[in-house]
Amino acid sequence: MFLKLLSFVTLIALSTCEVVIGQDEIDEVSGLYTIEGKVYPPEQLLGAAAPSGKWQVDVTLSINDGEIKGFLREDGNFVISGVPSGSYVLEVNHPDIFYEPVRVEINPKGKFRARKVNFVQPAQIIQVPYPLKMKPLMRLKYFQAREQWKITDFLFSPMVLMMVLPLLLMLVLPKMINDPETKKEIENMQFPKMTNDMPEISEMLTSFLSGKQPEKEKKPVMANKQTKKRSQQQQ
Amino acid sequence: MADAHFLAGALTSAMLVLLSTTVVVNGLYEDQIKKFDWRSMHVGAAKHIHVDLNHFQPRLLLGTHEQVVASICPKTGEIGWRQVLEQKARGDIKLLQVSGFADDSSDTAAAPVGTHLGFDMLTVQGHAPALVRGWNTNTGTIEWEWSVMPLNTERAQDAHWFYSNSLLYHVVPTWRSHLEVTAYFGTSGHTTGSTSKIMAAWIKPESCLLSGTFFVCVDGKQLISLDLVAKSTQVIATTLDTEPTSKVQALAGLNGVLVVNRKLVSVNKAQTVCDTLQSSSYAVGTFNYRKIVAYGDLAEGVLKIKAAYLDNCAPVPELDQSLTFNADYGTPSLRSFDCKLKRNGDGKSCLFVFSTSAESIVAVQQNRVRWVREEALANVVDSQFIDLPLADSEGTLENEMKGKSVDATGFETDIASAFLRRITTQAIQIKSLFLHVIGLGPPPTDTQRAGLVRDSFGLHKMLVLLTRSGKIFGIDNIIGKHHWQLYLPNVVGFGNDENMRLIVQRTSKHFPLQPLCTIVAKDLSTGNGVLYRFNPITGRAAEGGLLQLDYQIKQLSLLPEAEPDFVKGILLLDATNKVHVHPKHATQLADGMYLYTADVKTSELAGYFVKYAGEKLSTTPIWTVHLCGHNNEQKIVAVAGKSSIEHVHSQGRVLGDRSVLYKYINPNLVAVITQAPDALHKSILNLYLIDVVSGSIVFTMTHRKVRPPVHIVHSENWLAYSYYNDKVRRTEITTIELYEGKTQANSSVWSSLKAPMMPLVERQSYIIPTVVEALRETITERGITNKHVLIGTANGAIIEMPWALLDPRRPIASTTQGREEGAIPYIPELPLPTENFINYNQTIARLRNIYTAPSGLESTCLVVATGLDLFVTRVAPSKTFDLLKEDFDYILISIVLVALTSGSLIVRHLASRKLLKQAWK
Repeated sequence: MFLKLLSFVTLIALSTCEVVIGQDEIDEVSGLYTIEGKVYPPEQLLGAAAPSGKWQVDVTLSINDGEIKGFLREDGNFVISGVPSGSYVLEVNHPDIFYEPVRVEINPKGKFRARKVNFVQPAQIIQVPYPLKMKPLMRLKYFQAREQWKITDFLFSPMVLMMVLPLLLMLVLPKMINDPETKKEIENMQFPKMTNDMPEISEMLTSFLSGKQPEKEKKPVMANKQTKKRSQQQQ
Repeated sequence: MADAHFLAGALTSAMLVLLSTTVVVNGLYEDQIKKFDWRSMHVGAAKHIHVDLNHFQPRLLLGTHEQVVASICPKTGEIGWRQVLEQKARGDIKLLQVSGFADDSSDTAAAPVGTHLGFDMLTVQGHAPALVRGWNTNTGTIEWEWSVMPLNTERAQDAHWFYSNSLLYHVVPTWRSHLEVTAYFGTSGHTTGSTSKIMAAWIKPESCLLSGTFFVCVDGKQLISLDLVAKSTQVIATTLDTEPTSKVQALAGLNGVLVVNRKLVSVNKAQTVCDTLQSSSYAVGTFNYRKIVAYGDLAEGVLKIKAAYLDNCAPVPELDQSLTFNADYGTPSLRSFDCKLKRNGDGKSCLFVFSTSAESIVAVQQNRVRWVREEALANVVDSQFIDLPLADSEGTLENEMKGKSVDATGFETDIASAFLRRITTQAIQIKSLFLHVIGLGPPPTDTQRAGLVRDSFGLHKMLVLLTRSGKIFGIDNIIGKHHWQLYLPNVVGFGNDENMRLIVQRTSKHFPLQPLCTIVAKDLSTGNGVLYRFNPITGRAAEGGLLQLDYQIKQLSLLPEAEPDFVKGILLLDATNKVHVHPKHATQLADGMYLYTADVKTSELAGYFVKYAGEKLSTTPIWTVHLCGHNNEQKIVAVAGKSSIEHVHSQGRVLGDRSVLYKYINPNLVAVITQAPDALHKSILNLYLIDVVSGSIVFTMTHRKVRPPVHIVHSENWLAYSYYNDKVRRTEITTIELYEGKTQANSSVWSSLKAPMMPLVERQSYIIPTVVEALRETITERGITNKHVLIGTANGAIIEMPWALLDPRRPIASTTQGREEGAIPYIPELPLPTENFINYNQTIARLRNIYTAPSGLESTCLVVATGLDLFVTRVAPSKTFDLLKEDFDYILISIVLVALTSGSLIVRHLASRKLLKQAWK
């Protein structure tokens, strides 16, 4: 009677008392198993940003959104005890490091199989070794990179382009025109513009902002002047 | 023509690329860490506390009701390390044994740490299986783990565990029959050989407990006890003076000692106690190398701590302390204390740790509170963001504006007085500014001194959090400072799995009236409803504060604002289907209201109509819907309505052919999900969309081989819910969109009674490669900004998922129509880029819920995520389009401006010179 009661101990075989924890001892009475493996340290991935504490504390292993959990020993080994047979996705959670989850399947006879998680094609099986070896894959990138200040960015920014392009047009275009007639024409066109004294910047702004009405008013005046100048030159 | 079409296609595809890039890149910058967000970490209400100041690394070890083990720095109260154990029964901590603290001080303390021989701290959790874990208390890592699966799992629920002489004992009672005691070697899990069965017909549930190695049962005026480790199984009966009036408690640290009627009673002959002491809470420890018992009691707001030597019951005057104890902490009970070991200590180093009824952990040293941990925040049940009040000067301005709007009709005749008022207010403002500058102004109010003044963008708000224990917090949402706290003892959540509610009855918009919040809860003893009214900015009771109702609350609803005090009345439906309104003067507004109830147990929905006639309110049941199925197996697992403050900006969706598909925006639509076991499909999930005014079922859908956890979010014309698909063993999200069609029945007012025919339903399912714990939509002031869905996952991340990715109209075949509509082609698995994790590496343990609220900026939505931890941040789903970018290049724009002006001046100078030269030619 009493001996029977004994048998509910998961990890202990009845015949021998020497059982090391974490071995795949199968207890047919309880039907509970122990998943084991090792999580490799992420230190090289964390680099200088490594928190002061131990990385082992930041890692938790969870099955079915934390229904069953496992914790790490200082050497990175873990056992998750008291797991009934079934198929589980074992996740290794670390706030900064990505570990690939593994699907662990324990059949009712206590055979273990570990394979890659594939949610889209659940039938596809790629086996991974068991006991599990969880290796850090990469550092999770949570942040966007700020744009660096570069001279090219500055030069190609719309504001600079706005300033530089008209300047270029003003300076280079007149020199590019070879035909002397048109050159003269242009000079004549530009010349009278310069004659009436440059409008104040504020004036320019108001005219610019309130549509092109003031320009219209001026145009006939300018045209008059142009014709005058032309007639003078012709004389 | 063809060219134009091609161009349009190219343009839209370019737009699509643009769209998809904007969709994906929405993350934070590294320099924004902790700029908009903060996290506070919690462990939960304390269950086991051990203070140890004499360890080389002083520590306070905790096991909590939230199933967390943690080490806390005794100096500051900060968490050293924390391990969150399993949820539900599996993680329930039954025993927390710290090495060197065994009841009879004979244990394996000498065994070196890091070997399989000794342990630092041992926990036993759960019952089937029971997990035994050894922890390294310095680092928080596990040392070893083993488990026990009892044969009879039901009996094992009442099992006790105790530790004595390097052996861990498992005591399984079979009530009114016998006890089964099994001993294990603590660290390895090997049994010592046999399970002993002790006949004990006197054991009864509810009256038995374990004190050290003694199993004790109360039987009238007698304590019947049994030493489970003793060689002889002799039953000892101890007679009490009076029958115990409250629950008998064991005193940790002394073998066989109990607290009965505020007094110490020993059932262990080897242990004498001071039976003259009277207190509600005791703790045992050592002082000056002598064992003492300390006790603390709260009387009229003053906490008194006293101690007595155990051997001669003489008082220990060095440890006498008294301090005023804040009533908001709740009723304290002394859980543990420790003093630095010295030959002639003066008691100044002693640290007393209390746990309180408000779930705080309070450490007391030298007549003052050293630190407090507010562990009630590990169980937030409701939250609200409240606008802060205006600054005084702005307040007067506001008043003036209000005056203007009131007599807007007589505006022209009153123009002179309005002008006069304007001048006077400005004069007052100048005067107050002047007085303020020379330091003679009126003293600022409390809230202003605390910096609680509304900012120009409405981002700074008061976050009011209601917790399960009845404690309410007012927290600054920018810096996380606790501005005030309130404690309501004796309130609990409602039946039917409904929590207490926090309701905003008046917002801060009605200056000079103060905002008003109300808590609706159930009284612990009577089960009747309780209302508590308070000012959410100051945390002080308002309008009389606590109001005990004389009926049970079944359903509640908010009424529109009532004149003259702008309070939104609360409409309450009681258990007998009568309705009540608070405050009373808003009663008339309840006329014509519709209410609905959903009973989780019977899966029955019912609708009521409220009528106001003859100064009285009456209800008429108008419809009932039974969702229980033909064999009453269907259980309601989720009910989701829409947010009442939601604005829908866009009424339709522009299709590829430039026609508009109008959204079916029914504010009365509620989604109900029921679940039932099924012989063929294991588990079936049914979704019903029900109009709760008319009671008509708008849409139903069935999922087979699918089971909870179900989480649901319902907004505008769409719905998203997550569930676990048992067939393919993955979590999936199904999204539904409802459309009226190409024409809109009534664009101005929605009426459920004259509703259009059945809407068009678009649906799609997506695979989400994680476990969903919470879903919530973002909400903004006007609803112009895109809506994103915040997905809280089991590993504590919050992912911002654009609706464009969850859109059920994502085309499966790549058609031009879908492309022109701007929809991304369908891919079954949702991408979870880590840039979209709004809480980056600040994971939230046991994430339970996410609450969102609009800010003053249209682009920005305030977010608080609750669980064991608390995380507050803000998100901008369409980026902050109404703010200059944070990295806006002020230098560049000023350089360009300066260069342009100086350039034009120089050019002008040059031009005039050229002109002059030309003139001389």
